Amino acid sequence: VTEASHPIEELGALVLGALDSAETAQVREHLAGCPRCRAELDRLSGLPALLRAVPAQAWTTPPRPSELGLVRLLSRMRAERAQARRRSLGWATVLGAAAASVVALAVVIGVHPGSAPVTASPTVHATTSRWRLSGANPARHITGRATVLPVAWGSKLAVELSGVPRGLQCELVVVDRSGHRWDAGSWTVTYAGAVYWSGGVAIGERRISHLEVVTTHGARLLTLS
Amino acid sequence: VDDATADEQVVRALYELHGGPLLGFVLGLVGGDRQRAEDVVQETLLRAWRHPEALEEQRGSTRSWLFTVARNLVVDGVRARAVRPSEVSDTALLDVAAAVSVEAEVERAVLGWEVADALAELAAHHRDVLVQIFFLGRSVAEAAAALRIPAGTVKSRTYYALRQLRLVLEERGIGVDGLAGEATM
Repeated sequence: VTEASHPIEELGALVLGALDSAETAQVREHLAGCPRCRAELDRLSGLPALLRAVPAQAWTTPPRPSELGLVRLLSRMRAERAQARRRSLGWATVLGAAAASVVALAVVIGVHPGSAPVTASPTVHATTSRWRLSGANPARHITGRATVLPVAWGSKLAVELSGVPRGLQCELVVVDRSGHRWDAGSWTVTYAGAVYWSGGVAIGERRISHLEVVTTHGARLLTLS
Repeated sequence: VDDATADEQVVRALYELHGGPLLGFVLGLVGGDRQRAEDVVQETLLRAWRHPEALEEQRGSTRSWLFTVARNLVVDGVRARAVRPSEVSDTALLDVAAAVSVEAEVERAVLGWEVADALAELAAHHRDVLVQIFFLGRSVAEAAAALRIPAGTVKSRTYYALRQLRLVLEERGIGVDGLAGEATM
């Protein structure tokens, strides 16, 4: 049996029932004597059941909620926050912890700019379940650190940068393991010195490959890994 | 660090990632009433923001939590409009049975939209053959005529589309293994 005679490419149409009866008979006859093709068929055989779960609407017109809905949602959040700040205590606590650790690092950097990574590491490892990243761009004298805090809805990010030129607009991009890029927010550097930024991304910590800081023109300033 | 900005980032991210599927799910529950569905989506995400601890404690996915909250909002809305009061004992019995089927219903809806997300990641020419062959139920020959490509291409694209779909689903942690397709000799 040569490589070309395995009807591997027919197996997709077979599991979806799209082959005519003559072709179906032919492929089945081959399968009866070919464990390799049977194994490949097995790998596809769970898919039709999953496809049947897909709502018709997703095939025809995948729904998109309106931008106006998001604007309304954000304004309701702002109104509630102004009215009763205590309500968001849960997230504030999560954020507060991440923020506090970044500020602590910044203090260390301020005192010992050169030896900051070494000095900081004992305190860094004292807290678990947070993922620390760092990176440097020696050509542009930019350094940065980030904390990734896993939460149920995704990952909370706290980033601290130094050496970024004032007035520059930056974007934080989270790159997942399959190479997909997630926007995690943008900001303008308003003063010289360290920049602090926090944001969130709705993917889990384990799916994150690394973070990138890019300018709004797309130039990469820093990779944090 | 600005808490309000971070919260908004998170809600934007939730809206971006789950807004479409959530809206689709709710549209199915409210008979296609777009305005009402958008209101329910908004209210659901507002609750997610108000109760981050609920999301943290949720053992299943974030999407399951959002779907469940949205469904409850729709049902509560229907109950509030209903005029006929029912016996307490009847309601209690019905609720137990309903809770089990509701969970299954929500889980199936979540799965369906997860697979839809995976389909959206496929290359257009791969998705197109699956639309023809699976969704429209066409034969290879019919799909070839509709897409104006040779039948052999339809077959190979169908195969590679399914392989890619399997890969994407596995990356997303969705089990693909069904029962063995063929009995061994």
